[in-house]
Amino acid sequence: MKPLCLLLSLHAFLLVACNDAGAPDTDSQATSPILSEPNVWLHDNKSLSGVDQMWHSGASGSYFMPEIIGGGAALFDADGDDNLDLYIVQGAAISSAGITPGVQTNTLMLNNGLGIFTTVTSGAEDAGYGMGAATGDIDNDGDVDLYVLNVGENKLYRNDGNGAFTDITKASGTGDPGWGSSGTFLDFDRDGDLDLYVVNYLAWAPGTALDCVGSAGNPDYCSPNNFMSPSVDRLFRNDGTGLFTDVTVESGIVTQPGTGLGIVSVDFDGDGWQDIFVANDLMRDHLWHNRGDGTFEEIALAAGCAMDDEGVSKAGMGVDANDIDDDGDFDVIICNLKNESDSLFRNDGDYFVDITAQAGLRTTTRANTRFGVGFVDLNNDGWLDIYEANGAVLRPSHELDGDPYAQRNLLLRGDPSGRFTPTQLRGGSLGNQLWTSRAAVFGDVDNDGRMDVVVVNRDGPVQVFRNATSVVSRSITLDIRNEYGAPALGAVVTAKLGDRTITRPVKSGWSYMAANDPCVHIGLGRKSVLEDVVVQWVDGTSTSFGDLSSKVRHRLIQPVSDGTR
Amino acid sequence: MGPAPLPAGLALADPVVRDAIQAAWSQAEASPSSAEARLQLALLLDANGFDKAADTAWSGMATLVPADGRPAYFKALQAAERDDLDAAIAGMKQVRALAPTHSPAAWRAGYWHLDLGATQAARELFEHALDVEPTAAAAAIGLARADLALDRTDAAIKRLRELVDLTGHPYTVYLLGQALRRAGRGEEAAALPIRGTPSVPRFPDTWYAALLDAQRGLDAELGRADRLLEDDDLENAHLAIKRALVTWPDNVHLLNRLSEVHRRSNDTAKWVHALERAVRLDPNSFQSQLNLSIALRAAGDQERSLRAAIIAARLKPDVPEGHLQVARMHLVANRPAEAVVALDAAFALGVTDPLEQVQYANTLLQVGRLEDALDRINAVLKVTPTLPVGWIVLAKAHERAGQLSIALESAREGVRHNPGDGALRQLVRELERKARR
Repeated sequence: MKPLCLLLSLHAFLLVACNDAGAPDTDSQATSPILSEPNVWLHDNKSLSGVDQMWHSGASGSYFMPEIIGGGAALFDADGDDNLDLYIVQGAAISSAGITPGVQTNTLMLNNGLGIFTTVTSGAEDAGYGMGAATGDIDNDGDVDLYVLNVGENKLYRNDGNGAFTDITKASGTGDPGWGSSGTFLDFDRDGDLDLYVVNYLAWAPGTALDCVGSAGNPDYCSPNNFMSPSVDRLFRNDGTGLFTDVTVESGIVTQPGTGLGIVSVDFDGDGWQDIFVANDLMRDHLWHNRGDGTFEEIALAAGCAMDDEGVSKAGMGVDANDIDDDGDFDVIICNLKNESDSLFRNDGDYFVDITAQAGLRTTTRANTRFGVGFVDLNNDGWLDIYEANGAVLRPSHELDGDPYAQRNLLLRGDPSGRFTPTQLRGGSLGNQLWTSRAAVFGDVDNDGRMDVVVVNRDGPVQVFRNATSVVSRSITLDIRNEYGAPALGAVVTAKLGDRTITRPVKSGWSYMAANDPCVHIGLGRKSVLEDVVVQWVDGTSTSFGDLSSKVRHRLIQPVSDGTR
Repeated sequence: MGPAPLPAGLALADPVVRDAIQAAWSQAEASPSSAEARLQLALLLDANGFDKAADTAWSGMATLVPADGRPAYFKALQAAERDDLDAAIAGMKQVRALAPTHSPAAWRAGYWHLDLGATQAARELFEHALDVEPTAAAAAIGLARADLALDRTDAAIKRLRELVDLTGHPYTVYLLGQALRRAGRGEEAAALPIRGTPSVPRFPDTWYAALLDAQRGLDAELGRADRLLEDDDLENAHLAIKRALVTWPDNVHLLNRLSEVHRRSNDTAKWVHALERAVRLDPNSFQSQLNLSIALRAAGDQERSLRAAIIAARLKPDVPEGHLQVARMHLVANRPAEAVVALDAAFALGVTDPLEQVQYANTLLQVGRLEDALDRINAVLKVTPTLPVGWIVLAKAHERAGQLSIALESAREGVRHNPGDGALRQLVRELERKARR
């Protein structure tokens, strides 16, 4: 098949939005440069974003596994100005003697509100072999703290309120020394503070690396099965002040080691307690059901989502959960290896049904190895789309010029039929987008009411894909905060959109090695109001916020317990 | 007209592959009207990764024997391999016209329709395949999957029950479990025993079997041995491995497979012998050392078994299995203090098997690490309360801690979960007697 080559002259210019009647609307949604080309969904412009970073794998020809697995990033408001800042995790050098801290360290880039980023010194310049990041307010002081997952000791950074961070790893007790991949903060015990789940990939060290060969007999990266060493994830309970206790054993998490790479935490069964889904590489995926008593039970097989209908333990990478069928519960998508399709499970309340083929994903996704993934409404038509960041883990048998692991990303448009169709322009973007992509991180970086995507590439540029879809469709952004003013991770929003009732979770840890914007972004199509907005908080209470108009970022704050807020 | 020229890349191929293809090509050139010679050449090219040359060869055969369905069949499989399912489905339609009794031409197309989400079309093809071959398990399973996708759960359950009764294959059990849970019959599903890997089985297909037979080279031989072992066809597995050992006499992977044949044949002496040979050839093979340790234990040579296990654990310290085997051998020799060191190492890496976890808890109890033992056994029983031995360990741990009433309650709880277990009932009686004193 010939590669798709499109040579178009691209111009960045301002658009004016139109209201339903087609009259010009000088709404602030269109305050940043975008593209008008109808088939272009996303536009990568390095000079526009100011992001000049890359994730360095440290690859030196020895094929150490972490080189092909990382890396990740976080989009979160680090300095409290309501703009999404970008934290990019960094690799390091590996030899059989060990990991040498990187010359390039992790980087925080502050956003000026238009999606233009500037590197700052933050105190979170970790030099370990970085994989991913997780974000959440661990001490309920209203600012967002940062956890970095490394091959080796993970790091916890407390946000001191102005974008400056302090390393509190040792004091907090969260410096797990395993191969951390992804993580998420969640209030699993509903005591009002955020606990931490750390996904570990393999029990691995540089000294135990193996020599593996690819299909053509060439040296290449190993499969996790070569090591036969799944690893135990870690669960840390927050004591309320940002100090944590490792409760991996008493919670039951210890009973099921895995080869975890992706995580998402939502309340899957609607019992009010946060459950955890972990995507495992070549092992059955795990669904940890929260029993509400401090313990978890791994129920993926019984719940029908450990494997899809082909009964194969696929190479799970990224994962996301959202309500794609408007039935009020959260469905799951897991990305897998080339020749293995995505697995899409419809949540039927107490059981998951494999609907990968019916949704059109069986054949469209298996041509590539997919990592970062998100259900996001990129074109604001009210239906969740799917974005996937791709890149191989093994060299193809027929060598290509340049990066042999590079693959184009994938964008699938969602519609009312429940099917997802690849966009006409592969990945939704123009130009040479061939990189070995890993994390896809989602958020509205330029505050224009449209979701953008940051993609971390192995030994390639971190790409900030600005949303370039038409601004005719409207959207609403719900910035949902707990009573302390921090993102209310674990809360659930329901609202009426026309004759639909939609349900969206507040979450930051999803996709692959990523911490995403916890704001809930809802495309409204041509509608201008989201009706009957209700937030159910993690403590089981709920608050009705009535009808909310489009165009505005709404901050919805949980009332304090005496109801005065 | 003779066969098309040999592919240029053939010179770089594994000599075993190259020689086989060259011989087949010579045969086809010498007998240009022989359909059998063309078939063998095309199969060899196709099976050994020369896709373009195979495509040409299949076209040549189709010209020579237009009524033979196989060229179109293998071209359709190639199209599916390229993920061009539309072409593959169209190709199989042609095959069904040429070879109406070859049911895989229908059920393979059915599975491709399933992949495309065209469930009703898939269902029709599976029904067609069953009309052609009523015992085609591939078609019956496909039909059940189509019914599941169409929310015809009861029909799927009925069909899957028949398949489970007929074959017992883990995949049919898995699918039946899925169907039962979808029907809200989770308890029935939980009672189903899944043994082995529940992935899609290799369905019988004589044409495709010929393609697999045409694979050459070491990887092909290892794959062939694995397939035969999976089918429990020990006699043919033994023959295939022996034949491969003639070409690759020093290959430890072949020797490990040979040892597996002997293990399953209950020939312990040969089992050990094959692994001793593998270890002599490559003493740094973790797989061989671990397998040798297991074999020596079966042979009653505990000392050498422990030595081999220790070597395995040293070779791959990040793999729990080596440490677990070391622990087992220490436990066999009644050395719990040494065993617990190995178990600590294994469990720090991660062990899923609930029985191993119970063993660990019991060993922790033996060495006096009471708190660790209680944590561990409580964790495993939360997940797997149907392990009577786990409740026994829990009760014993509480008894050891002087908590007789909690021990008794634990044992009773165990009986509630495992009402038929005699050992637990006996323990309850013993603890009741002690409590009365």
